Amino acid sequence: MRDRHQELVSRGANVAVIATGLPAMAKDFQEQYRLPFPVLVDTPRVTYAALGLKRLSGRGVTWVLIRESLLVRGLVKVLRFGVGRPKKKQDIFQLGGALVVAPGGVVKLVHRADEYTDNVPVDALLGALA
Amino acid sequence: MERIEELGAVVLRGADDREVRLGDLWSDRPAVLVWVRHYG
Repeated sequence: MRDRHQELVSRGANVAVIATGLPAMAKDFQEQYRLPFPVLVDTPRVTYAALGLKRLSGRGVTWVLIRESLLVRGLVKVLRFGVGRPKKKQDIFQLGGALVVAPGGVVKLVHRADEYTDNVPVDALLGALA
Repeated sequence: MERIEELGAVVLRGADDREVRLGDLWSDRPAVLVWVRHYG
């Protein structure tokens, strides 16, 4: 989305990302990926609940545990601390989503991810702005 | 979506420490909001 941010803006849209965690983490995230839009912090995940965003279950949980445990944190950390420890103030099973709202609050698109890799295509966001 | 008013009333703090009321984002322009899973 970062690379196509200008296309969204050219259609008159305000663009923002909402994330969990802590403000300092959001700042690092924004700087690391050079995001040209605001990154808003929702530590208690109020907006995640309001939008009805899902949490991983079933096979998705297994995949995330494997990824977080073996690939990212390393087997040694797993043995020392256990599996799937989320980073501070984060929930590794939380899924994302997207919302496009027309002026005045008319909802044009809602996307609630069903799994880890279920990201809304930018073309869908652009289509909702048309 | 029946909860858009609820969502619009939420105020979040940005990475730049400024507060943003979500409803202000779509008060006079369309808004695209993306929720991410976590920071990785």
